[in-house]
Amino acid sequence: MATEADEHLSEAIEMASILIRTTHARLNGERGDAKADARVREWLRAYGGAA
Amino acid sequence: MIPLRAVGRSPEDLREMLTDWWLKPLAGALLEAAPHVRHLSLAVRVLPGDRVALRLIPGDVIHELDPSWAKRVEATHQRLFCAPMDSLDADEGAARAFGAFVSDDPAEWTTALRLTRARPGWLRDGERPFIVEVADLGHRRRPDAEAPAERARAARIAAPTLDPDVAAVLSGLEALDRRDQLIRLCAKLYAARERNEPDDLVRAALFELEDGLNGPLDYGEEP
Repeated sequence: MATEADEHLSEAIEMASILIRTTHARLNGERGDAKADARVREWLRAYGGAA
Repeated sequence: MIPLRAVGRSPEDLREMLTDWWLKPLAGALLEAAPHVRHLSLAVRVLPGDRVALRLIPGDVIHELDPSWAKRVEATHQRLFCAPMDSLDADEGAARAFGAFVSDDPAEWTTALRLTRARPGWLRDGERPFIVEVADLGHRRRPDAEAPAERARAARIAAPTLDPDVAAVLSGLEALDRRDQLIRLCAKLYAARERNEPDDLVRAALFELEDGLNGPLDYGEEP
């Protein structure tokens, strides 16, 4: 179970990192990353989060 | 059966192990991974020195489990603990252990593990098995939905002293709790962005996520 849970956590960390990066970009007026946003959105949907 | 090396020095130790950080997290882990399991067997084996070893195994639906999970159950979840039981014999000890798992007040029960006689086929030499029926009594949540803080607390306390296999399971629970925390924070930030909320609100959610990513585990408010 630890391995499986660690994989879930790794994915969450990756998604959080993407969201942080793209949000910083948006706040700085930089061009958005639609592909990255879509990844995060799908991930959140998969886990019942908002989006 | 290989008993765990966890040591309880008194019935009070045993009670604490069962109530606070042994059976609950393990039952929760099992139910989380295999929610259709509704019967766990608690096998009891008398060990030298008035000790007993208890073994938690899934019930008669194991054949429906994902093979990899069933294998993992076989490898890790069968071994629970051994503890001094003073003068109690195995039956009485198991009954007391079971009793310690639930509150004295039925209204406070989240889940009852009902001890009944097990099926003969589950016996191993020297074991006296019981069936532990996991019954949702509806008063509160089932063990697999216990508050994350409680589960992680159990993991933190138990992990250094447990059999490595079980410690891995509890460590896994903590990883899942951290994942859930990140999902919650990501959802909050994403929603703020989607609603085009003012930058200061988006920044606040962003900082919260950054803290959550780098800081200690925070469970947020209890539901």
